[in-house]
Amino acid sequence: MPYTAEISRSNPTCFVFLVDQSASMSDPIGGEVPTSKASVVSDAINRLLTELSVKCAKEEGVRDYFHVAVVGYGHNNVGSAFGGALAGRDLVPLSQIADNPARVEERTKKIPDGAGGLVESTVRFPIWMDPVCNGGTPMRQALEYAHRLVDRWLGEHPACFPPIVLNLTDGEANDGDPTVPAAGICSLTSADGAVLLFNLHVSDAGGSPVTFPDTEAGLPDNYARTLFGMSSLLPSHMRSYTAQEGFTVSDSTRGFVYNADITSVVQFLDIGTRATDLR
Amino acid sequence: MQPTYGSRIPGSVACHHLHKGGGQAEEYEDAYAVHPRVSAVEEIDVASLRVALSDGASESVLAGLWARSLVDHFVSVPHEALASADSFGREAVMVTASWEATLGDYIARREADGRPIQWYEQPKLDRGAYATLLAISFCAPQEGDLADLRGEGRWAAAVIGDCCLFQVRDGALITAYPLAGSEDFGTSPNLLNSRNQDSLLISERVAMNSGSLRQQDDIYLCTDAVAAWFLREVEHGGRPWETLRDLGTSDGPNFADFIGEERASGHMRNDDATLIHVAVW
Repeated sequence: MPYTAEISRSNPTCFVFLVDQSASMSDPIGGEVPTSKASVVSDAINRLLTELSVKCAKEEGVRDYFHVAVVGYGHNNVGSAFGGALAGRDLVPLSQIADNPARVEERTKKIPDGAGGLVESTVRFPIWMDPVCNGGTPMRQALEYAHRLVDRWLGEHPACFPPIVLNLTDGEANDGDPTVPAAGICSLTSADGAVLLFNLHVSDAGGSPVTFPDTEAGLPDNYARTLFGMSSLLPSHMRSYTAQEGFTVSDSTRGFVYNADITSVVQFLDIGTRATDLR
Repeated sequence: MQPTYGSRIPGSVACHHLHKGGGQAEEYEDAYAVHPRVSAVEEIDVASLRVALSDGASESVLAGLWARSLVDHFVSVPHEALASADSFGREAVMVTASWEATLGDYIARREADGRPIQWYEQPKLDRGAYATLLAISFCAPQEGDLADLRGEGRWAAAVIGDCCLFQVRDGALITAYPLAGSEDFGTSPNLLNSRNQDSLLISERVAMNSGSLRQQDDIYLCTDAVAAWFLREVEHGGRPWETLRDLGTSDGPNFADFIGEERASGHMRNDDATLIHVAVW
C-alpha cells in the first residue's frame, strides 16, 4: 500500500518549499490590517519550519526525519531562500535548520489563563527567511529546480516516504505553463508512491478561504484553478486527517489551499504515536 | 473442574524488551514494572503479582520518563484500585502530582549540563508527556467469590490506549483486550498526559476488565507492535502464543532475534517492543 513507509532517521524523507518572491508579492491582502503577500508566505514558511522542528524534537535535539529545502523564485532567478548560516544551501537536515534560524524574535500572544480569561505570553518565534519581492515569477524554473532536488534525493533514498513539494505563490507565473513541470514532479516515485505537489495560493482576488477542496468550483480565478489542477490528490491517510480536522473530503480532495493556513500539512506526516489529549 | 490452589498460585513471569530498530537502546520509551521483583527462572506466587506496562508516545518529549512514573505507581496500588474506573482515574491523577517536580529536576539538570532547553522543546514541555498504560493485578480465590468455588484465581486490569492483554487457556485464546483486531491499531491511541488532572475523563476512557485464572493459563501483556503482530497471526490461523511462550528458553529464540526477524520480514512494525509473560504452573 503506498504512503505507508516509515519516516525515520534511517529512512528520512524530504520537503521542498518553493517560495514566490516576485514583485507582485508586494501587493497587500487581508482585512483591517493589510499584509503583503510576501509577508504571508514568509510567515507561513517560518511557521512550517517551526512546526516541523517541534514535531521532531526529542530530549537530545531534533531528529533528522526530514531534510528540507526552501527555494525562492523571483528577481529572475531561483535558489536557496534561507537566511543566516544556512544561506545558499538546498536540502538541509532538520536538526541543522532547528539549530540555525537567522534569528529568534520574541512575540506576544494571548493564551488562556485557566480561569476563562486571556493573558499575554511571550513566545520565541524563529525566522529563517524574510519577505522578498522583486522581478518576475519564474515558477516553471522553480518547479524544474524542485524536480532536480527531489530526483537526486530519490536516487539516494529510493524507499523513502514520498517527498512533498509545497509551492507558495500568488500564481502569476510568467515563464511559461507551470503545469508541465508540475506533472513532471508528480511523475517521480519512490518505492512507496508518487511525489506529492501541494500549493498554497495567496491572493488578493477575494472570495472565501478554501482548504483542501475537491473541486475547482468556487475558486475565484484562473490562477487558483491552475494551481488546484497542478496539486496532487491527497493520499487516504491525509484525507482522514483532514476530515478529523472538520473539513469535508472525498477521493477528489487535492493538496491545495487558498488564502488559508497550510501548516496542517506537517500533521499529515506520521513519525510515531501522536501526542494527543484524551477526548 | 480445575484443581484448587488454596491461597497461593505458583507460576513464573518473564519480561522482554527491545528498542526500536535504527535507534539507540537509551531511546527505548516503553516502560514496565513487576511487583514483587522477580527473575525469570524463579517460582513466584501469581496471587501477589502486580504488573504495569506503558508506551511513551514518540511525538512527546520525556515520554519514557512519564511511562516510568506511571508503571512505578501502578505496580504499588492495591488490587481494589483496578476494580473500578473511578479509582483508576484517581490513581492516574495522583501520578501527575509529582510531574512538576520531575520536570523541574530535568530542566535544572539540563542547565547544569550546559544544555538549556531549546525553543523547539519548550512547546512540548508545556504540553506535557504522553503515554499509554496497562495495569494488572492478580489475587487468590476470595471467600464468597463464585470463582473461589471453582478454585480459580482472579485478575483485574485497566488500560488506557493500545497496550494489550492476551489470555490463553487449553491451547486457545480466550481473552484479547482492549483491542481484538490487528486493524484496530493506529497512531492516535488514547493517552495519559502528565498534566491531565481530569480523573472523570480518564475514568470514562479507561477500559476495565477482569477474569479468572486457572492452572496452566498463560497471560501475555505487550505494547502495540507486538500486540498487532499477535492478532494478525491469530487472524491468519496461527498460534502466536506458542512462539512467545518459548522465547528466551532452550526451546525458542531470544527476544531480540525474534523481533528482528519479524521486523525484517515486514510482519511487525518497527517500534519499541515489550512483552511480559505470566505463566500459571
